[in-house]
Amino acid sequence: MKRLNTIMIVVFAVFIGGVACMNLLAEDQPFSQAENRPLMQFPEVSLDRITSGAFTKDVETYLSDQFVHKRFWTSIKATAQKVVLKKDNNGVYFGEDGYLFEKFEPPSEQLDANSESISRFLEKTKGVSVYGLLAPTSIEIYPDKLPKFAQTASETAAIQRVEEQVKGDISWIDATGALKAAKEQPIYFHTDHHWTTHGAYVAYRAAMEKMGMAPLSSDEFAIRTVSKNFRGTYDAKANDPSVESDEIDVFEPKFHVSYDVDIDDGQSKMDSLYAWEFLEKRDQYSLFLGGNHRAVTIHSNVKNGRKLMIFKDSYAHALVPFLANHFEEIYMVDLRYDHRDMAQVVKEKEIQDVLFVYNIAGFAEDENLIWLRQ
Amino acid sequence: MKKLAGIVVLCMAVMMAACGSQSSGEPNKEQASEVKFTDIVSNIKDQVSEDLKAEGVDDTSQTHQEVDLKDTKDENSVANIWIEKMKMNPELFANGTVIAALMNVNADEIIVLEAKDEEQVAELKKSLENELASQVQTWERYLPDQYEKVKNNKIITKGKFLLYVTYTNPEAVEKAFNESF
Repeated sequence: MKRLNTIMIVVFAVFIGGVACMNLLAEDQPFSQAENRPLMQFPEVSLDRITSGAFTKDVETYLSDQFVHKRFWTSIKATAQKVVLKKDNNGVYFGEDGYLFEKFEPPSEQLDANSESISRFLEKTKGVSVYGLLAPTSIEIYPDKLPKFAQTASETAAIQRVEEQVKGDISWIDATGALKAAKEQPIYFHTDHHWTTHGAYVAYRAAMEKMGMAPLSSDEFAIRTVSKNFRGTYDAKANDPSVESDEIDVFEPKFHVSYDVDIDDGQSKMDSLYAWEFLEKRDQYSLFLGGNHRAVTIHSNVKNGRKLMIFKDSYAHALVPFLANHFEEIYMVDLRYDHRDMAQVVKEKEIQDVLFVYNIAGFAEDENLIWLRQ
Repeated sequence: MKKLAGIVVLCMAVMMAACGSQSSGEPNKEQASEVKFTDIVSNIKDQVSEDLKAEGVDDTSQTHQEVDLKDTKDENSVANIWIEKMKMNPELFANGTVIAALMNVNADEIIVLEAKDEEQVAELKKSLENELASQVQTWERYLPDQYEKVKNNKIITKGKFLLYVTYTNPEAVEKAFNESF
């Protein structure tokens, strides 16, 4: 009995002490590839910060961010949760057929404020054709694959609410209808919150129809699988090692077309719509146009004089490669980082078409559409 | 080794915080009412344009926007956008100015507020905290150097005045603010 106690004590002490020692000895990491975010570094020490409590709060974040082999411990938690039949981890549901889904929260007043911002923008851009595309996320398309009794609000209802609230001249593109009709195709990633290029292609066809242009048939593209090991943001949250990776396909035009891509007014340039280096990183969706930028301008060799301005979140990144074949110039703006008077920019650049592209889950919480009101 | 030192500092910090908490609650009564809001703002602006000049920017108006938060006559004015964005009650402050980067990929944001009276300072501080939360959300997935600035944000109150600084060198702005008293 005494011996057993000794063993217990030793095992306990080694486990507690060992993990503590490993934590002390491990190098701090600046960035988490798995979570795609910078990690907390050891906070700055000052009397002010200590008395205000900011220091201790930061130390807490620092210790949890820099915990040694963090992903290993969190994946134990995820596996344990599945074993005891929990339906979700960190708000991500484990769906059927390897799908992970994120719950859509009932929209707050922010959604109504965003509708109002668009209405006010429309007042100042009379004569310009404005289109809106609010995309659902995967949870709305595959409710049948959700675990039983999983709770989520209706994205279709939220999209309708915006369409009813916005006053003025705007044409709404019915992406939800088109995507639901194509649900047998791989239109959403299993492990990420974005649509795939297949989903974007379906939305592109719906958009073209609304804009009175003829979409290119899928036969005009060579569809190539460029990644088989994409694990997206849902995976980072759910952290379930048994979920399979996604593939990323790109649609390469079979016809000749060339693009000049300018990022943040000359900060960098690309001659392709794809930033291939991201396939080597965790955040592979940034393959499309290199991820989020303040302002991206695309000039194509399509000399038809048409100019399109897009206010968008990252859903637009997979869609724009299709649209770029129909416009001479595309201006993509991220309102988080660009606070110019956009109605003025539309006038100055003589832009005829404006398109809003957001996923409804992001749109419902976006705090930056307000910049359209100035 | 750095970590070990960190842990030691942490232990000391906890003790100091425990001892220090009784004395920190005392308000600074000594600053008199003659401090002018415009002086504070102009001191801060001098600091900002000095810093920008060092970076080679001569005309501050090209890169930074100055907004008078009392300029709310037009419903769609930039002042109204800021007020709504921060979920601020415009009745609570006598004066307010925002100096923010306009279109550079830059998280710089300096906000100075003068409350109508000291009781409103706590409520206004909440609005500034809303703004900080929104800046964190905006920048945490974008440029790491700009996100560093946001993480080093300072919110300072002194009498009726509040200062919010997201800036490359927040201490310099803080100093300009403090020296106005």
